[in-house]
Amino acid sequence: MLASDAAAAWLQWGLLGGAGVGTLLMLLAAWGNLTFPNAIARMHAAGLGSTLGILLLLTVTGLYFQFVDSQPNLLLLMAVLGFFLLITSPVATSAIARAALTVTTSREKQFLGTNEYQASHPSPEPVTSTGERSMQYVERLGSDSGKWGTYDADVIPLWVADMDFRSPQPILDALHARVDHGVFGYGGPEPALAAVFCQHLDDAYQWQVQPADLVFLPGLVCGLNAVTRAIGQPGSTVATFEPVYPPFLRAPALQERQLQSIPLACAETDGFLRYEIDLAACRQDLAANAQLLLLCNPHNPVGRSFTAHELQALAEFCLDRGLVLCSDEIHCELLLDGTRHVPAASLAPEIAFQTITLMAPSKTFNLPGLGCSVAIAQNPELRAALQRACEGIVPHVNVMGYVAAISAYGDPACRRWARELCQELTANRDYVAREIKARFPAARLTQPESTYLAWIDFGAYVDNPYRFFLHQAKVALSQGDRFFTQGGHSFARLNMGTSQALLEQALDRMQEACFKPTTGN
Amino acid sequence: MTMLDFTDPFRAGLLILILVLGLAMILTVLRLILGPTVTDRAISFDQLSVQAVGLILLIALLLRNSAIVDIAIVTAVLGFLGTFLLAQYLEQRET
Repeated sequence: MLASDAAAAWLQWGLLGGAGVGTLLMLLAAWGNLTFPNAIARMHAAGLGSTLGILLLLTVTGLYFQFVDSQPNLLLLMAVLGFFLLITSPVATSAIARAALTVTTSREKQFLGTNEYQASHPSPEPVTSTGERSMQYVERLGSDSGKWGTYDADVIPLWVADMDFRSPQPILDALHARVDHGVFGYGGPEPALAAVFCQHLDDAYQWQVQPADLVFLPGLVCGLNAVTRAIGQPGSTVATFEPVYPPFLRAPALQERQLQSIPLACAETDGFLRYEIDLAACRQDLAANAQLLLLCNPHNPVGRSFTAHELQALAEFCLDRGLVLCSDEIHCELLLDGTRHVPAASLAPEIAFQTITLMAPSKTFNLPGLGCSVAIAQNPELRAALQRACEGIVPHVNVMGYVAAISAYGDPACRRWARELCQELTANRDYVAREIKARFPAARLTQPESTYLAWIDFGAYVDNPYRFFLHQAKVALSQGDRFFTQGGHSFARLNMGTSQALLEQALDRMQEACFKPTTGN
Repeated sequence: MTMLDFTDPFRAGLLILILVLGLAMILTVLRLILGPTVTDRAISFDQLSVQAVGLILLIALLLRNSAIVDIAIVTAVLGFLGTFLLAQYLEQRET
């Protein structure tokens, strides 16, 4: 016990100072917790600052009651409590850290990293990680790729329409997180995807669609067939425009309908082939029992993004003839050189009422293997007919497809990635056009406004470019005649969704095969 | 218990420290509300429980009542148990 009053007063001031330092440390710790960029960093502030602060306060309290207020055993009690806190504080912090590492949602993972600081302090030019900056070519030979596995290993595959680019990182993260969840039970209705997709349609096309208008499908070819089955009766006519992606020509026969394929009008302007819808031919030739028109827009393989004007005229024709319009818009985000996409159904409510639109994130984000597509049918009768046609045959979308699609449509980083992809594809298109014109001056080709597909007529050089280049150049293109009901052998479709190095190698081989003296077809 | 004499500089000082610690608790509550992750909230809860212990100790000094220290001990124990169980729960929920 202290004898003198002076010493007691001195001790009091010392204790107040100690309490002050402890309190300020705790204030500093709270400030750190509030302002540090992410949870892991905040743990340091909370764990270290607060613990040191509370230990100082305990010491002060113990000393005060022991020596100033003369209450025995208080110092011992405080020492015990201090010891307790010295153990529990790090235990609690490491328990939280451990739990944080098992947090699985991609949203939370993103916040645990350094991104939140950037998100809360947006810079004018959004910061992207290196994975999002440019397209990353992936070697796929020996993977489960159909494109790379169908032909011999020494063949360069430029046929089926997927890309050799890695998908954007946010989608991969979302898929990883979904795998870590560890359960792959039946997927349910997906309100989150419906919400982000409707928002996307509004943002991109000012097209207001309700979640109830959507029917999710495991694929677009499946959607095309389901729509064909849903509209009309066996024997009624289904119209489309050729050349066109082969499943358009196959679907009517598969669904007991009659195919009427109207040729697109083709003209050569500015040295490129340009295809247009031949409405005069439609008016004149279309069968009276036609009930459905299958449109591909942006058009595979000719690369046209039909203008609002063209679509308006076509839609008016459909309304006039009572045709349901099925608009496959799967390539609608692969817009080259600032092309604009107009969904046919967004033109007017009465057009939307006659239209079923098919979309998917699969082409843009290179996800066709995940099988997630969506049909937009704003007319409840058409939607019900489509759902009836699917019943018992068409399975649910797989859960990984949902996860990827939510990220694709909802994550701003994916939107940026898609813009960069379009720049790269535009460069590839210009490269291929330049090289084809230089190496095969008599070939005729399109100037795609969208898609990564070049459509080339090699008729001046070989009769069947598909067979010739496959065997003589070891380059696999898509077979032109598959896109027509008859003829078209001299055409080939070339997939430009790959690295320029691979495109150059393929063009070298094609040129050499075509112009070497001993060539036979 | 007598009326508190705040002209006593020791007590006036303690009162200021209580206000400062109160400010710290407000900052932590802000982080608790803002999140954005469950982890942030768990950290903030833990920090809040430690701050509560500190606040109770300062009040004990202000009132010169050592019995209040017992409340601080119970608060410290409950705070630790709460944080630990919360962390355990989060971990099991996610795996």
